[in-house]
Amino acid sequence: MSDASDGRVRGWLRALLRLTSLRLRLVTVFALVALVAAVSVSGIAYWLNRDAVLTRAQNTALRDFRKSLGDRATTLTESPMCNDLHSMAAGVAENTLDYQVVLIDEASDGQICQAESDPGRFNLDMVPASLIEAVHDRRDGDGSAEYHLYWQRISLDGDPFLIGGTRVIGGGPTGYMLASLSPEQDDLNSLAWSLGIATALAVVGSVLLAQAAATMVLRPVQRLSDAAQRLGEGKLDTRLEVRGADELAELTRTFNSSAASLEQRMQDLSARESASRQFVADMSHELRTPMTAITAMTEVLEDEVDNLDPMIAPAVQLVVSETRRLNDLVENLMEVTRFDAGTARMVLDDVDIADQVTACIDARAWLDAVEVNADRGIIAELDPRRLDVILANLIGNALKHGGSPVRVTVREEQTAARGGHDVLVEVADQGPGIPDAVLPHVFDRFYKASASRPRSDGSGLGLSIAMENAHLHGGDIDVHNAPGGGAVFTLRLPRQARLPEHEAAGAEHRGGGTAAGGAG
Amino acid sequence: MTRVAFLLLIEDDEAVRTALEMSLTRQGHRVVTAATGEDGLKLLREQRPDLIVLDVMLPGIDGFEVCRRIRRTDQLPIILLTARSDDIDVVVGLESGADDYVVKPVQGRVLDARIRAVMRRGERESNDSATFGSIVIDRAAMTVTKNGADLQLTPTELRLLLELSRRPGQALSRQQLLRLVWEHDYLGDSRLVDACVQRLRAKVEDVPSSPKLIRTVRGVGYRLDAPA
Repeated sequence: MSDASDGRVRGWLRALLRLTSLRLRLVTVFALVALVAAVSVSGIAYWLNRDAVLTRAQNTALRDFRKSLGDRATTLTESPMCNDLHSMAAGVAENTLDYQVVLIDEASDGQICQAESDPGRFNLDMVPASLIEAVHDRRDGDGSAEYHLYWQRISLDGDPFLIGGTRVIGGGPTGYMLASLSPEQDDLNSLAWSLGIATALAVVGSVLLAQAAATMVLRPVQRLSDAAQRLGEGKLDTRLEVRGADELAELTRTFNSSAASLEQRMQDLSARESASRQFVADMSHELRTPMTAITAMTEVLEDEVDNLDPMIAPAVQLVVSETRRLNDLVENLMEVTRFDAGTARMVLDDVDIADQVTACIDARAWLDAVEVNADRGIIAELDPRRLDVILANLIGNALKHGGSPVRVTVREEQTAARGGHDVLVEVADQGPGIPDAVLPHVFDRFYKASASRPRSDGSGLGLSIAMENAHLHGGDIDVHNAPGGGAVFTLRLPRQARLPEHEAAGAEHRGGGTAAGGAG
Repeated sequence: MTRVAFLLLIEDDEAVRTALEMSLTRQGHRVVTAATGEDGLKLLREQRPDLIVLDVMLPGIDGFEVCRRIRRTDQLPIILLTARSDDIDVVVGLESGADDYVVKPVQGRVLDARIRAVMRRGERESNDSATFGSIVIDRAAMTVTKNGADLQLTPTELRLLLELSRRPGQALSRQQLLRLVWEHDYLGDSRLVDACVQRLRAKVEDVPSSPKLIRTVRGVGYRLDAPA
């Protein structure tokens, strides 16, 4: 995976985290608030309801029990028979509230008689000892009643029951009752369920609400973020639609005006820059016409120099040589403006590098000062003119500043990164090398190593143009000082020059028939 | 060639015109000049020069148009004088039928060398003839016929065909062809070859878009095949 896609994934993750964290925070807060509110409301409601329901049921049962017990006790004899107690228990238990009764008394035969309305469902063993004790606790003093009615809630086999007991006033029997609280429990359970569901619904609703709110708030933020990114990528015409009149709308307006002023500035700058480039291009172009006339004339003068007055001849020679320099300078300036404007084009051809190097050196009569170490047969697809410019500048520079002999080595190198071959041309001189302070600037335009250095013959653009030409081929030039002294320039070119995308479409197609455009 | 070449120089800038006329005259050519394309075309009809040196940037009809109009009737060599080496100029110039081009500011000697090279292309050198399918090249008469009809070739096109036909079945690189036909140094512009091959194909091939005679050899250059 490449670094670029790695970075993109990281960017997404970061964006996701940033987005979710804000969203998450909102949702969490909303949910918490809803939960606390719903739970406390439900809890209070449940508690109050439970109390009310239980108290009512309890009171009804106990009141009925007391009344029924009292009514029937008056009909009982002083020393009732056990049978009488049984029938009384059955009578008390015959009620609409469906509670069971146990009556205990000392029967006439002196035995303790227990009378149950339904011994299977309720007997004395089920009554808690503490209740029995409380029931038998005699109250003195207030005179209203010797014995109170006591009650307790118990749980039998998991079901809730109300158990109550009292002594009939005036030495009557002791009675206990057992009433089921299951209907009330069921009611309360269903109430609890309803409240639970309502709470859950409230929480879910609040989460959805929070989501909606987050989306509402975050969507403009996301739009702003996207727009800012587009702006950063150089799409300076990015603007956002302003909606509403809230803080986000204000932010959007600020963004738009910032983008507008940025775009304006960039336009001004690039207009100024392109104007100045155009000026240099026009200027060099305009210089060409007079230069053509002057060049043609200086040749005539040069031919006649031997026939001229010896006083005049040096002047003519100076004019001739300076005209040539001026020509080179104009040529180089034109080349530089083409590079700057991105209109420099390549005319590719398959060439033998060794032949090109030899021809370049030969054409400039450098053969005596240059050692060439190059095997023929290294063929590369490139622009021969541009290769010649690079070689001439590198070798010329080495000869001028380094001193002969200059060694030129051509070799081939496999490149792992591009999966192809690179052609390497090394130009090494025997000079003192390049000072470290100067090394990073050797490819700068018009860079002079020191002010005190004698004026060089070059235009000051040579190495810069060489570098631009190498870049145009997708190659590079590297410079370093050799351990044994002397500077080494290494030109690296891919064996197949890659045309820049904008040029590839317009480039001449060499493969098949270049059929278009026959003889006009 | 020992005889003096008769040149027509079409150039609008007076200083350049005067300077080039003077330079070329000193090189031993006979020169007539014209300041506009229209004047140049008129002089061409009246005086029948051997070769035209044509500036691209002209008032009125430009150099490319002049070139196209000349090519409708005449096959005499044309050398373009271009103020810009920008590629589009060169390509358009070559497509409109120019044989060679030089970039301003041009040195008189370079222009002279190009003129002499172009003039040499019309010289005959041997007396045989060769046949490639329907094409018959008569090296004695310096004519090419297709199905018996004369083909109007410029000297450059003719020389290119001759060089290719001298080595049938053998691929020649663009740089080789530049040296053989254009007599350029090792830095010849390979587009000259491509443009000339296209013009030649348009004249000699049955279907110029699918050439049977002058084949492109990928990564090398061009080859002349005798059709099977």
